Amino acid sequence: MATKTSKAKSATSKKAASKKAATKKVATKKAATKKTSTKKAATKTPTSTTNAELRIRMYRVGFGDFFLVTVPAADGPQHILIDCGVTPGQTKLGDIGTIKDAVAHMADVTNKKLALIIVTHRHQDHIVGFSRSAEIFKDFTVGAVWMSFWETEYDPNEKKEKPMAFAFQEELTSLASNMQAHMAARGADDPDSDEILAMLQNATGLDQAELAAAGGAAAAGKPGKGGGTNAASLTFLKTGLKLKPEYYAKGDTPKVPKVLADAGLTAQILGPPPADAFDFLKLMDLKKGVGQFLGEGGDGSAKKFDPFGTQWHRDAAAFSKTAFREWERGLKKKASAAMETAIQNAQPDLLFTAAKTLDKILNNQSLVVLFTFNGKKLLFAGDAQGGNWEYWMFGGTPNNAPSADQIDKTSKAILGNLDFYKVGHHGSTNATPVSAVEAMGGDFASMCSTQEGSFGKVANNSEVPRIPLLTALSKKTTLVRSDQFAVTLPDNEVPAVKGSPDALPKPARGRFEEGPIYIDYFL
Amino acid sequence: MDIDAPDTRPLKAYAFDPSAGKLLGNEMSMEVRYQELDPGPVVRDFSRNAIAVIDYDGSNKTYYTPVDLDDKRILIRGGLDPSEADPRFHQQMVYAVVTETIQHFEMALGRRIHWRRGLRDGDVEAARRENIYTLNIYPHAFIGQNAFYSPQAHGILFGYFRAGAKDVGRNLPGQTVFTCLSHDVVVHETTHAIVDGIRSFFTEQTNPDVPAFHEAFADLAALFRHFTHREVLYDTIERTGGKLYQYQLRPDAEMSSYDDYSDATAAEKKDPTLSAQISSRNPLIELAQQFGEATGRNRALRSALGTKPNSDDIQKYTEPHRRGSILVAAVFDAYFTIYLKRTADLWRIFRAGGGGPNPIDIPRSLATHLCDEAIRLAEQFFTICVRALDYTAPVDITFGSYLRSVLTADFDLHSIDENGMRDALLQSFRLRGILPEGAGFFSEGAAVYPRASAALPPVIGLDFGDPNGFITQDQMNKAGNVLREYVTKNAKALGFSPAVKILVPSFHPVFRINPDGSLRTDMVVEAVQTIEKNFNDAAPQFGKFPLRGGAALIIRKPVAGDPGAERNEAPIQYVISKNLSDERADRQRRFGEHLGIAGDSKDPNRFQVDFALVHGGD
Repeated sequence: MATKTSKAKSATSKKAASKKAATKKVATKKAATKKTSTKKAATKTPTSTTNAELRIRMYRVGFGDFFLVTVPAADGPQHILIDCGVTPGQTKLGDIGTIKDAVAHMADVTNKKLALIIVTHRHQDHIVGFSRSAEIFKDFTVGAVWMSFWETEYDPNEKKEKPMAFAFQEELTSLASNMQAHMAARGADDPDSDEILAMLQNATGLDQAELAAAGGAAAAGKPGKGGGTNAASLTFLKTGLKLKPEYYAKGDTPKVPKVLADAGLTAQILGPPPADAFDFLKLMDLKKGVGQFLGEGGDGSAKKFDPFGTQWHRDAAAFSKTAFREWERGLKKKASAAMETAIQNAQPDLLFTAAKTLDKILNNQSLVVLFTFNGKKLLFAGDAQGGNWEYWMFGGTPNNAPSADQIDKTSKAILGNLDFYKVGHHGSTNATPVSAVEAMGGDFASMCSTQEGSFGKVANNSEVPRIPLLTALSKKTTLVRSDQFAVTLPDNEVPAVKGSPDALPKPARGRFEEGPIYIDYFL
Repeated sequence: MDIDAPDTRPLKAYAFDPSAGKLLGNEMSMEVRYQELDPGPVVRDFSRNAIAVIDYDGSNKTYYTPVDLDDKRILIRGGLDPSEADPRFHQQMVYAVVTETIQHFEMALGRRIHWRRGLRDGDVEAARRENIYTLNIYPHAFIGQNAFYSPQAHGILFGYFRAGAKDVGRNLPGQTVFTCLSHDVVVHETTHAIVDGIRSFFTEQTNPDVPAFHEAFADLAALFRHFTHREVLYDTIERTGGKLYQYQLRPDAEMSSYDDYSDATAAEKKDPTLSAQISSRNPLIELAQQFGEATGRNRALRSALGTKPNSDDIQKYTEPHRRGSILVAAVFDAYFTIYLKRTADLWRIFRAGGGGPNPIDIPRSLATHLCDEAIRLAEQFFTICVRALDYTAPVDITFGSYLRSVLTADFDLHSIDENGMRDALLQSFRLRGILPEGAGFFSEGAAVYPRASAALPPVIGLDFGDPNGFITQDQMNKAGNVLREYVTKNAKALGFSPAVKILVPSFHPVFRINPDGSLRTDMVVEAVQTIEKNFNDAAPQFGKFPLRGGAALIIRKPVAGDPGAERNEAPIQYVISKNLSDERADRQRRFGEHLGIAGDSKDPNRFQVDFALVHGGD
């Protein structure tokens, strides 16, 4: 794994480096010396919000989202927290060990008072901070919590039947834990297993290594390294704040807390798509697909068994030469051996596919919020992928229906007039559709919270953040990536990734500023 | 004196699957065409569309004893008797069912078929690697609830698995279920391989109808096979009082009366106490019962009437089976409509003779007539569905264009819609929101593809071969050259972009009988051109996708008396094409993005439908 990562890094840095070659100092030197003291911004205390300025703060936590939007109001600044999480990823390099410091910092800045918390979806890289830093969060005063429609809670005493979304989430979680337990038991001999494991850990928030050590399911419920689980975070968010979260889907009119509304902030919910029983079917199909591995469909049928008995076993010699003629192609291999290899390669890893589908279902539950303040439009898309975007971009028709029209006018207007965009899914290729990039206007600022080398491989073009996407975006927007700036806390330092630019870019409107563990955008 | 080679070879197989037991001709004898076989069975003559059953198990890394169907002890029995425990019976059954499916398609198409042909743009090595000359059949390829056609493995892989511990229907909990023993599954997978041979580019995912079409078409082929099992059909007609399309069959015995037991609840009174009182499901309209039940569904995998007629589903559902079931339901809706229409007179006679309007039992002679009609009609529907393939543009299939192809294929041979089949199809498709793609009006006249323009010059000097296809390679090469020259010269008039090279992946002479009894000879030709498009022109680093334009040409062989017949001028009857339009590029781009296959991936197969995943878990 280590070699893969370093390859990924060097390839990325090469591309970035050539772009910036004219202005930059040697980046490697900066990365080698752990102290990034060359950066002037690091030592500077950021300016506080002026009267009319809106501030978007991206905390650097690694591969995960942690955003704080501060709105100027009559009674002083009001704060909106959007997600708080991090995940180690495929390479275990995603979690840079700063989230607790970031939460402490945020608690300081806000005096533990938040007007609103937005939880986009239940992946570890968006929520684990709430339970990892539970001792800090428990003292917070919060005005409102918004969550995706899919998080809808229910009280068994009030209603007999579970609401669809609740039942769905229950099924999904149990499936993810089952798969994770299975993978832990199966061991790491599978070439794709590190990627499957990373996705499953993100879905459950449980640590894979500990699961494996404890023999699979027995350890279920144990928190991941660094503490906190998704389940604990969700419980806290739904019951620990003395208020009931609001659950939204596209088309709902959100109840903007009074302090924010008075300050002139409005909000619009663009995603997730409203309840569609079809998602349920997708999940059921998924369950059936992996059922055979998890022992649900049969008595552990993933285990090998001999269907007929050894008396029927033969080798290739039992066949006449004519049998393998399809495989005689001047290859060095024996024809029968070529066929045997083809059979092995033809079978897909259903677990891998299932893990990917599960990951996508969760991402598409993302609450997508468009804020408007002083005529400025800010889009927070969570980790929304294809289906979620399509739903609002194409006015409810699935993009892929042959009859689907072009992007509808309202969506086009929204995308064409953005002032700020939180890059979806940490810059992964599937999170910002090309058609959306095309529809976006120019001259806006965007932020991408990510950690290079956590997921994917450059070799098969699946690395996250995805270079072509960021390149395309950077033509439209002034983009800042969290992993390109060092964390310079007194007792916790993390260097910027190789090939990072020296200074913050200058956006067409507003300005970026760098702090010890965050980057601010003032608008 | 030598004895003539026989026409057919008798072989035994399950009509449904082992779970159906011995009832109702489930253990059937099939007469498949006689071919010389090596153990496997492996068809010895590999000149065309041969198959080879190779029982290699990738999970257990072993081969299983191959069956020698020429063993005289097997011959004298008319094939091995059905047995789940003997892999040689499994091999025999897949061989028989695959061969019969091929025969069915060839009969419907009026020509012989071949397996997949890859791109043939000069690269002989690649063509050899990608082309399939002998389709391999692997009856026990792996452990898993799956069976799929894999062009990479040059064949069909069947899985086997243990049934679930509960809700397994007629299976024993934990028993081994073999997908290769399900007649439906075998026909379904064979159909995928056949369609891939007829249209090389149909597996390219250019719109959401593509994978759905493959699933629907394969299901249709399997379902229409049901209607050729006379014994089952007859029984179903008797047990539904002639209403073939009902989900439930009437149980053999009426419910007992619980009225004497005062403590019985209303629900209990409805419960059967004898197995003869349990109503069973209609096997004709259901697919792969054992498979479905073994995986805990407690019902068949799919049903012909799986969706209620409504025009919303087509907008909503993109999952291949779900979307495909809309097409299947539309075709079967039309089938049952015509069945009712054609048998209406029989019912009138029945009622005139004193029969009630909703009879429970019907006389034997009526059942026989209904049975005949159902079989004949199923044959007709299957034929028109298959023949339509030759009338589809070679790229980017959609339900809407398939509908037009079905109508055109039928219209071309029978210009008068005597039985109202085309009308029924048009209506049942419309009810499900499938509209003829690109047609200006909703009527048969507008939905049938227009005849080729009279301005198109005829093809001169084309050799149509003879009813058994081309005899020599030389003959075929010459015909190929004539066709390539023709499409290149007339590129613009045929809807192609003249600047881009046009390939001719396939051409076949087709022989059919006109309604007046005379022989009609056509040449069906696929012509395709390809350009590379960026997913995003502003950011070419996002990668490219192939955009293909294509046309199906139907060329008629002139007969004596036709104008130009003396000069061997063959007129173009139809040009059914999809060109390299920006509109199509946009649609394909968006769909690629939706699937997540947009991007600069290096995997050349990422645009292909992966049948292994489509079928995964069902």
